[in-house]
Amino acid sequence: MSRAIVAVAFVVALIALYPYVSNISTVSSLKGSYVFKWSEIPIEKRGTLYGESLKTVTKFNNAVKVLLEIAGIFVVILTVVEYYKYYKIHKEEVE
Amino acid sequence: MMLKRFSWHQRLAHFVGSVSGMMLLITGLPIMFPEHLGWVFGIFGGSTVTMFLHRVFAVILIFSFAYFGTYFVLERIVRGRGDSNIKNFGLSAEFISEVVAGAVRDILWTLGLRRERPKFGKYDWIMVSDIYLLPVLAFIEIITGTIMWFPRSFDFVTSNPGLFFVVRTIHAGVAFFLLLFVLAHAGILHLTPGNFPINMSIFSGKISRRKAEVEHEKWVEVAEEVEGEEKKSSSKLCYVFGAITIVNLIALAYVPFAMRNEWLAGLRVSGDGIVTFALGLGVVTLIVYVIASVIAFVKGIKS
Repeated sequence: MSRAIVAVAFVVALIALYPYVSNISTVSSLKGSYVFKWSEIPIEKRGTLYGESLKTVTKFNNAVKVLLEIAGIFVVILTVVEYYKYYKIHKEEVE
Repeated sequence: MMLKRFSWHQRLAHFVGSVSGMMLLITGLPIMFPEHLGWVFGIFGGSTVTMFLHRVFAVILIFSFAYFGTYFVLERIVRGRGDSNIKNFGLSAEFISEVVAGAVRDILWTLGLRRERPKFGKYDWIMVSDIYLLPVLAFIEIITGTIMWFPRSFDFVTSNPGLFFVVRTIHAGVAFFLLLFVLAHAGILHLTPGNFPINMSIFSGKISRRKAEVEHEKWVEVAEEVEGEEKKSSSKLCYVFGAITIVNLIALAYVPFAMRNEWLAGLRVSGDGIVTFALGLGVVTLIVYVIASVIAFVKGIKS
């Protein structure tokens, strides 16, 4: 049964991987036409879409910034508390 | 006396997932913070090579996510939960309330507001949080990364190119949180007294009975005994490295406060000494962790 699980998992992983592996060498971060450009949008729609995009992007930028501010403080507090917990556990063990 | 803590597949999943994940952070964060981490491009031979490597490690992470995700779900269905305390895939209200209650009691004990430390099974509340949070964050990164890799395959991007930048902001934001996560995770589980310099249980698959009796009391009675010798460590250096990690996390927690909303360019940070220090130390630490993980994994196989 163990081998059957490994085989099924391996096949699933290969299927999931196919589009990425087949494109790994054809894409460069700095060149190529894979990034969609504003010039490809019809000129009569471009202005409206750009305005809407700015609104949406601003909302997401602000939301991500606030979430990261909260997460940063939370992670610091949690790490200090957990570090102290292991200090206490170790102290009890040694005693 | 040693106990079998993790299976071969769990150890391999941790190793492949963590190394590929940390390499993705090392090669990806310089794009979000080019002013502060531009030197990383130099290490790998330029931005084009670095971005190619980013995709190579993304492929490894996706393989790891798909393979181990499928494996663990099928294993649980076929073999049941074994010695794990995670019931019903962790989705039942009973289990969630158990985890929350355990977290509250554990924190109260740590702060001296409760006499007895709560008893935990194989995975305590913070491990359960790690087990569920990390795949969710990895999945968000895989989805947003895929959209940025193949933007022309997604209608919502081709009909409005501005949404590409929303996806990029989410990808970068989660990556920054993952940097905090990795540093906190390693600081808590490896750099603490009794664990420093490295907690080998995830690499060797074994834990000493003595340690398990203190940290996972409820699990000990169902755990399998295995051969092996316990290695005790009591170096005071753990406090130095613990302090460095906490200073690094405090400095990193400051970074979002220094971020500016620059519209389609996303969240940007100007040249700030604290930000440069925080990100530089964070990435150097990740490089050290990648090397340490490889050495520990090889040692774990031999043990």
